[in-house]
Amino acid sequence: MKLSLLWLKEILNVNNFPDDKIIDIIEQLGYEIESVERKDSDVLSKVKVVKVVSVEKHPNADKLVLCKLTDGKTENVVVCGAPNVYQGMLSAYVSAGDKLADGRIVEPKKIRGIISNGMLCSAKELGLYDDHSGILDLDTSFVLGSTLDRYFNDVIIDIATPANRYNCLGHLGIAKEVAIKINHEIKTEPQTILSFENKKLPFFDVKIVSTELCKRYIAIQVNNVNNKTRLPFFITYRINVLGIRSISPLVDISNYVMLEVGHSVHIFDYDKLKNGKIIVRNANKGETILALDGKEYILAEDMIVIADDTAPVAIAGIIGGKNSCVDDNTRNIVIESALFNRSKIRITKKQLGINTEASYRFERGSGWNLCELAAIKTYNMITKYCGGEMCRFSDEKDLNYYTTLTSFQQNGIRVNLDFLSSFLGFNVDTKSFIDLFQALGSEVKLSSENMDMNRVILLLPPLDRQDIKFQADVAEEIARFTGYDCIAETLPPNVLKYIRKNDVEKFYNQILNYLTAMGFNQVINYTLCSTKENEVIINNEEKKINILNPVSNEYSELRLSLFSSLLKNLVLNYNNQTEPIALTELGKVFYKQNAKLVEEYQIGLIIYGELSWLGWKHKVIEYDFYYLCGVVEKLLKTLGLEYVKSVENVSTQEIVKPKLHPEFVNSLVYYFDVSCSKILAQIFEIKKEKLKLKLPKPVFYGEVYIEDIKALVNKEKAFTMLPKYPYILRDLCFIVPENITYQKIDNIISSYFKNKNLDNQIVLSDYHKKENFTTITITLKIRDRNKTLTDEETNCIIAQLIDELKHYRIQLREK
Amino acid sequence: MNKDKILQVKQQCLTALKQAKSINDIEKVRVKYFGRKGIIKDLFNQLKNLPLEERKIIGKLLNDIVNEIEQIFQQKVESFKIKVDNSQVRKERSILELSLPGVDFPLGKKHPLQQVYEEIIEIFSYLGFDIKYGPEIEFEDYNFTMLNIPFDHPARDMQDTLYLSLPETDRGKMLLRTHTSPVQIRVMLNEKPPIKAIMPGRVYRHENLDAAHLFNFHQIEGLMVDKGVKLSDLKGVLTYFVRSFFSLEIKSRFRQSYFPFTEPSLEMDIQCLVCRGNGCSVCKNTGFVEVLGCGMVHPQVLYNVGLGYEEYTGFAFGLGVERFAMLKYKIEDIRMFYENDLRFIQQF
Repeated sequence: MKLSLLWLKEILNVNNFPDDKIIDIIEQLGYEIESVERKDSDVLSKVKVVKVVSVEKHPNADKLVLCKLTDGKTENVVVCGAPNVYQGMLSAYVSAGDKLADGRIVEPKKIRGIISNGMLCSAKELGLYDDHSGILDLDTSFVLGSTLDRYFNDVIIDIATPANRYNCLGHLGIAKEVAIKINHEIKTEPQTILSFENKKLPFFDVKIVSTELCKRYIAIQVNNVNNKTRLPFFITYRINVLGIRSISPLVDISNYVMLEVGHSVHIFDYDKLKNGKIIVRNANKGETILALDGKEYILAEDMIVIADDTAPVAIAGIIGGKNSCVDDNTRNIVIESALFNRSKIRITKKQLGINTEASYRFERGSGWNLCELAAIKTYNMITKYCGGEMCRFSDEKDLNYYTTLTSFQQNGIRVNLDFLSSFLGFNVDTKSFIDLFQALGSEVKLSSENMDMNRVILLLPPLDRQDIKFQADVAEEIARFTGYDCIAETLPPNVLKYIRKNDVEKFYNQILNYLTAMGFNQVINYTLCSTKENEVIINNEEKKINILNPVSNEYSELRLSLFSSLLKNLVLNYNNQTEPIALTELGKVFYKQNAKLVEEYQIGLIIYGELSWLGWKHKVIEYDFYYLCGVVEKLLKTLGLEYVKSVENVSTQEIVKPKLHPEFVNSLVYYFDVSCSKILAQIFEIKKEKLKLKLPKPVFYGEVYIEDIKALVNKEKAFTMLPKYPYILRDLCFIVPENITYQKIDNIISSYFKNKNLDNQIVLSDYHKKENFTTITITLKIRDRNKTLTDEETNCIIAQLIDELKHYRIQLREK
Repeated sequence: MNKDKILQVKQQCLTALKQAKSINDIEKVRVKYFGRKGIIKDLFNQLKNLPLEERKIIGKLLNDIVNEIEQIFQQKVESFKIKVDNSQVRKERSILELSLPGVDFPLGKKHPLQQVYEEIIEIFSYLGFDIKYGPEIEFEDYNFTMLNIPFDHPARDMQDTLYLSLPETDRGKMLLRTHTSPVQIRVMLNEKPPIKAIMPGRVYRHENLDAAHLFNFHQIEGLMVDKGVKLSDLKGVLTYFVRSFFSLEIKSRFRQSYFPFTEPSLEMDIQCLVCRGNGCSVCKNTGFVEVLGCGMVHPQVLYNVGLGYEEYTGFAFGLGVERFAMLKYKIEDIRMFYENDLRFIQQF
């Protein structure tokens, strides 16, 4: 919201108060300063108020005139092309050699054969405001021969206003608060609508269909106004400099009142209202209105309109209709000042995409008394400048609403000054408390004669400060007027029973530290995705959670898996010529599990390319399936977990987690134990063709279900005795039939040793795939925890193992 | 024999030393001058032929020169020893070309948001804050109503909040939380004061993506509720925090603001890091940039979770992780964080 400091200072009656000081105060009071624009006094100090003595036609040009000017002492002749110049006019003159606001120097110039000595200027040329439709048309309050800096030494600031403070949406509201801060009183004559009611005029016909739409509607019919009159220049200046164009005297006055009081009023041409009545109602679906901005709007049922007997004449609180607007010939008018439902105004404005000064104010709410004040001011200004007399009057109000407003005010707020002192961290003394709140228009009820004894006070805030309801609101007013700089900085005590590093953070940190050390880069993706991205999951329709009102189709569902995001990241980096690529994400996935909603953290891993880190030694390691297996297996080891691997889905219960469709992947599953009920991680070989991926090298993806893992990790670590006896090593070669997996052999061997109570390590040291069998070499490390195994004992154990393996048609290969 | 002769000998000896190119050369010089039949030995022998007075003077001169030369001898010998050592080692390891590049392990980095996040929660841990978590799928009541956000508040609009296609519950519609503040409600419903915790997590808004806006980003919420928690505590904690995070010298200020769930409500600004407070386009010539919103927990919020105002008071704050990362690393486009270009991630 824009403010003119010149205007503020006039209300405050402090002409010499420094502008910067006022700006500081406004900011301290809680209004963020968004911009500051100073009028250029260098230019204005050279501009003189002159009178146009005579206007003659230019002998050589149709559209130009010769103006004889006087500043009271000297006379000049200029050539002028402005459409609004007339004899006797007071305007602004810049003599040759002086500057305009855009930096141009005015030079004596021959225009069509006549020398023009200086020029008459528009508001834009002087940097006052953005209007170049004609030269300044000043009124008689401007002294002939004086310079303009005297009148326009102004600073325009743009401030942000809080959403709950409708009492500060005009110059008056802000000025009142600044006045308190600088200990200055603003003199205002009390004005109430009572004097209007006392006139006992006929009622104006206003019908409010539902009080939900409108809590109060003041309508004043004024007849015989003159909308062709000229308003004093200060009105024109103030509305224009604050960003509103001059339209006509009546419209300008209504805008002026809005900027001053902070409540928006509207003026209808009475003669354009069918049957001379006003109805406040919901719009009919599909109803249209041609608004003052020249656009036609199609309305919806939840919008409020002002209508006459036949059609809408305004969109309430937002913009007027063309069909009812005042024009040059308007004689009889209706002034509207009303309280509209602010959330409806907000929604309407958003749906129609209209932003007006009126909607800016109405969506923040409006005050009962401000509504009244705006009506009175508008009426007074119109009759003062445009003439006319009031002939009908109406003040429709929702009395229930008024009762709730005042009941709160009557009950008051119990304020404990001792509590507030400790809450704010500085002493709030009784007298300054009372002074502040009385200045804010509140009533204060004391219980004791002795001023300082009053530490618990009943406060009755003013009607138009509905935002003051609790002691906390009172505290805010005190803090705001005292200044937050005055409040000390303290550190609160350590109140918790104990503090230790958070388990969750510690766990995730451990995992991320491990993965980054392994060369994985952490990525963070959006958790929303497209329907297509979720389609890689089996039964995605049942599992997924949709957004009701998505920003776009690209982000219309919560992701079921980290896979699609990671694949997207991989492709982006591949296209950026980055290789090798190893990415990990610690992120949430979301799914429905029967009736339950699950959101859980998972770890996603994706790898691609060649790790050429031994390149010059001609030892290239590829990021492949087994690399990713290694990463996951060591991760599980790091966390202290045992696991069982399986290439088939042998889960005893259906895996409830979203699962990548086998059409796109081949997978290996890590289970917690042989029961295969708890799944820890999965590794996938991606079928590139099925996903239409244009990447030359294979892609591998892994998922680690860390929330489940976290629950399984044993936090209590305990020491086990170190073994005293050495391992015995044996290399064995086998011929393995095609249908037997390595995992199976590993399981057989390890359970064999386990039954014999022997420590063992099995290392696959060679592997060859032949046509219908494979040959493998296994290096075994065996150890008895109680003694050193002899050669004989070892041979015996191995011979039994070989027999055992024969059951599975696994043959020892003789060398 | 006289003074000149002695100085001449000294000069010759030093020159010979300078020219020596190996330990052997030095040894030769040593023998020539200091050996049993060396030149200097000879000079000492001649001393006895001089008169007493002269003998004293020349003798002292000769001693001084000998001391000086011996020192230089030692230095020269030492310097050769070092050279010799190096060349011998090189000979032993000559099978390796030592300057070949080291193993180029793949570089793994944590995401910059993660790094900033870890730093922030660490600082609050020092200040004695616990960490609490809440779901991203949230009830309308927790996200809005219990936080004193009225039913007609703009934040509740479909244009501002992402709602889910799920049946309405007895705690309102299901939505993606628009801030981490509902975790405050969850914590206060579950625990009795003293409460002192931060609540990190992802939040969602109905926004189109641009350089300054995302439909999801990360917040860290803070809450302290106890008997006697003061406005000055809020100022103290947050000032401590921005100093720890940015720098000890950084200036900060608090401005009046408005949030439905705090009263008084404030915004915290820090001195612009780009212009250091002198005014620039980033801070719109104000010298300050906004970093977070905060305030004293609204009495209505405390009532909603069954705590009495006056008996209990508290403060709360909420900060954007992306915002802090952007300020710290001077990143201008917020979307960069979610593109996951390794050339970006590996810079931090």
